[in-house]
Amino acid sequence: MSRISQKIIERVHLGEATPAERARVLADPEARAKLEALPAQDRAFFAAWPADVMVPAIERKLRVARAGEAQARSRVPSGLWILPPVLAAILGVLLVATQPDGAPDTLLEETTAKGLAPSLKLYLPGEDGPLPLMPDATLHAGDVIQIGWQAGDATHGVIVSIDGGGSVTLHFPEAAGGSTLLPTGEQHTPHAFRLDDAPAYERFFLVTANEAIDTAAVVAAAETLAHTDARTGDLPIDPKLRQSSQLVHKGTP
Amino acid sequence: MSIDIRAWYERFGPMVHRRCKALLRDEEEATEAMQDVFVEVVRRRERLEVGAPSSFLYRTATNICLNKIRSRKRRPQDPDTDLLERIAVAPEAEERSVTAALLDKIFAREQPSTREMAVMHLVDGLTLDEVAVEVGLSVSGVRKRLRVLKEHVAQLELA
Repeated sequence: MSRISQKIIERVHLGEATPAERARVLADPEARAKLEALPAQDRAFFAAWPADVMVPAIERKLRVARAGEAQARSRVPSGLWILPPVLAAILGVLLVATQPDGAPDTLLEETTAKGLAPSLKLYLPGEDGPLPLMPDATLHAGDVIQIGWQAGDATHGVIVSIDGGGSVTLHFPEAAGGSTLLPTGEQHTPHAFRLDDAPAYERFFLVTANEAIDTAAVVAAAETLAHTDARTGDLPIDPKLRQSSQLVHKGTP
Repeated sequence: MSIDIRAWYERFGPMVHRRCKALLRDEEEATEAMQDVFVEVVRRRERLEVGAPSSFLYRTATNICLNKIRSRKRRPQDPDTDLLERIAVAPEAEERSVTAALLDKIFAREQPSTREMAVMHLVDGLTLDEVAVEVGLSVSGVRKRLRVLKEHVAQLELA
């Protein structure tokens, strides 16, 4: 005879068991004792993890997961952003030359450019390579943007955007649970971003700090701002975090 | 299908947390896994057609915990946890992640994973007959699927 599984005991506890399952549990002293212990365990659980605390935490995780999904849907193969070899070589020399220690800019280590403010950089594809996108530029649904940054003296960062429909997209880190450590120097996200048909605008935010950033908190702040003044307002985040933004207007086709 | 997170949490939260804690043996990890279970359920609610929510929440919890066991660094644990680790890392027929593949199967009413059946049989103590009823396969089907894991899980006895 097998032992009665906890799953069946739980089903009896929840009133979802069949009559046969219930009878089997009640007839087994060990299973019955486990069943009778569950109400007290439930009370202890809710004392430790009340719904008022846990439900918002679950909803916050859900928002982050959805923001990550939105990012995945908008990803564009990075091949679009391959620089012409000569330009890439020139840029590579310039980037290395601008770093204090001459270290390769792709190293994931906490080196910073002292005194240089972190900045968000948006680019459009051009025949000769990426073209910087001017502030308040107007683009259209389907246009592809490469999102980049200059980490400056910051070690960590999160990049999100809010569109005119109130949707929030997480761009960096790539996954909600990913490290917020910013590669130093001039960098860009692994995937470009294709604008969808959301109306009016897409506003990109770079949030930086010199310690790990709670990505979920930034996404939650973006969700809040999305319902108030996403076009001009600041993200309601910890004042110790620095934020910068760039607005992209969406024109009608 | 519409899901009221608060209502579901208040009804099923303790059960999900108990399941996660039993598999992960870690309060903090279990609480995080419990949150992940509810997130997955809400994200896939459009594909949800269930008469007994506790069953698929329990199975979702199992699969999410197996994923966490696979991904965490190994550290000394008790024999049951070692068994779970062997089940968690055993290969499936599919290349997809445990959670993605298994949740798809659960919600699409397709066959459950071999790992999940192994946990039911080896960890939860269900007989092959009970596993078969639980997952909607024949006993011979369950037996056949579990053979896949046999070489990876030394304790797998199909008697």
